[in-house]
Amino acid sequence: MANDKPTIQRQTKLPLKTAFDITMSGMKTRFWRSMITAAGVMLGIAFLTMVFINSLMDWQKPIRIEDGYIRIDGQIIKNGFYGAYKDITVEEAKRSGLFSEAVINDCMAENGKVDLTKLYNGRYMYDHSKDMIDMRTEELKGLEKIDEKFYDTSEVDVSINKRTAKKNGVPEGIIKILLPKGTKSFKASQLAAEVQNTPLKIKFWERQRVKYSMYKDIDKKKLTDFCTKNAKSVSEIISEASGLDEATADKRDVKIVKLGEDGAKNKRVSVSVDEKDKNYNGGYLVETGDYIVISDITATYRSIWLAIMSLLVCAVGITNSMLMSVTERFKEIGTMKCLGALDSFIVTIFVLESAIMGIAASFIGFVIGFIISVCSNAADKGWKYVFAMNPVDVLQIFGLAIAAGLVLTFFASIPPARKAATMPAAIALRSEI
Amino acid sequence: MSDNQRDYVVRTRGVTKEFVTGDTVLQALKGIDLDIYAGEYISIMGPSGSGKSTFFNMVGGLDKPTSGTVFINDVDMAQLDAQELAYLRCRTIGYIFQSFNLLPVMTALENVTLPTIFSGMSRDEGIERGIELLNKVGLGHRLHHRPTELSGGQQQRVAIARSLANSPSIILADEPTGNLDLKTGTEIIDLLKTMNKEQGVTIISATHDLKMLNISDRIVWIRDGAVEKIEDRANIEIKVGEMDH
Repeated sequence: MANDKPTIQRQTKLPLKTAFDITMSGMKTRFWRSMITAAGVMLGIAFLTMVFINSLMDWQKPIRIEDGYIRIDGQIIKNGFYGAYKDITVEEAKRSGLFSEAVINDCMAENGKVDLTKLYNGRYMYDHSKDMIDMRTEELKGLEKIDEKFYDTSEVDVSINKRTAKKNGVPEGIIKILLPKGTKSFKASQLAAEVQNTPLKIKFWERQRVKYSMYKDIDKKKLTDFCTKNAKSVSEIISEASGLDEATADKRDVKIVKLGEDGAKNKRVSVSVDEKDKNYNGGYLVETGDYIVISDITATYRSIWLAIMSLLVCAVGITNSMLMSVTERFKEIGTMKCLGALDSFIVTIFVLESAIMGIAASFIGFVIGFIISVCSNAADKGWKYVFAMNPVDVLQIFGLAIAAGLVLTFFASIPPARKAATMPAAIALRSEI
Repeated sequence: MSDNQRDYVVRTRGVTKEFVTGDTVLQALKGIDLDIYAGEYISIMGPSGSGKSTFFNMVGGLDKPTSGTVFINDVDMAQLDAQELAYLRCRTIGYIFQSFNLLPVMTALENVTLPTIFSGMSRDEGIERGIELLNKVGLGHRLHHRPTELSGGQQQRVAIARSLANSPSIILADEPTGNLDLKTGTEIIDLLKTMNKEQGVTIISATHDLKMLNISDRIVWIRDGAVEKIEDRANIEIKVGEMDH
């Protein structure tokens, strides 16, 4: 064995820094080519961002109720009462075994069928009246403890602010009633009236409890399941509304209903009433001129569909860009292998390049998408809706956009880079692009 | 000159290569036995499609033979794993290509320094080595030019400097003058010969440039994937001399 001959060792792996330096210098030199590749990522992420940022401002789009009409899901329907559930026959009601004779009779509608919406509300009204009695009784106890001098109006009707009220033991619930949003104080006479009225309110709810006591034995879970099966769809409501006789519709009694309140997810219409009660709960009397927001599940599907499509467009664009940027450099890869580069080093270079590009392009894409989305919404609905966005939601979308860009570029670059790295050097060198 | 006292740097035994495209099998190499001595300047001659480039790829470890063995410095290439093969390509073999194959995004100096990065040399050492080599090939004034700013001859000089970066024992040159005009080609051949003499590096060159014949120690003629004949320079010189009459 000749000692002066070089022995074969294993090629050492280079540090990541070296790969990073080579990648960066390559991208700097190939700036415009890199920009075109990045543009594919950027557009995809900008689109994705727009879809999501838009959805943040979507829910606040108010729809003005026109005189005599309301809109659901973009369609105008005549005003009137629309039940959340289909009417069922007496037979069906009896067969379910859930309802007593008295309940069925109580909910009998004019058409001879059982009004399921009324039945459903009745069950909940029973619980609700019990809760209300407890609440008001508690409040009454609190009111009785307050020194009568505190709300004596014989000399002057003083103004009481929240702090003073609390100090003097006015119950929280009463303060809430007397101080609606935006007001800072109430008059002593108002409190005096509450002291007078609270026992009446308790009586009212006691009457309600008696009235709805026939519903108390209905199993709530079974009732919900039953109602879910008989929930109306939006289109059913619309068609029902179209057949309504205009003369019988009372424009002061437009009732917005929440469909399939529990569980009927795919048929839900959720309603909130802007500036009146943001936490809409149950039926609500809406007056002409009220602004309401009606978001319909199909809108959610539409935005999910848009998001999926934008992700797909993004993925295809990025994969194509990465594929091109690798295949057009087969010869370079072959050369690098001749000079002693390991397969893993070549993969690292390309994955690094795609990751850097992915992050940078996603960031720019997010900014572009955000600006477009904000500007278009500001022009359409006003800045009020832009500033109402929750910064946490925006940050979440930012994170999502960066993650999507990074993950997509990362996975799109691995297969072509691996292919390039593992192909024999001779074939890589021979390729001509 | 007594051959048996000299070391073999490359030995091939029964090297064959088949390319399969669909149903047809093309036998590019039909069993090549060849011994190349250290410090030799050897030219592999043959018409296009004779298999010389294929053979060249086998010797350079760029492709695997279908059967047979290639020994580089007594090491069987087939026994090497990817990392060992990379080590071999990095330090033992330098490559020169017909189309230069410089990395277009890098300057002349960066191109020459790249192999030293792969061999783990420090950055400063690598740059020093790169400048020294580029000076040696006469491009000391073009260190920071990119390949697109250099002429074909200059690019090939950069490639030669790059191939020498890690002081290999073998340089494989695949048609190094193929893309160059007569004068530049001659310059490149002279440069290769100088390197061969000064550095004692073995040069294996696939070519059909007759200018190569003058300076080669031996010429291997390949035809249809087999060695047709091996000639010493002495015989060739006579032939060339005769042609000059």
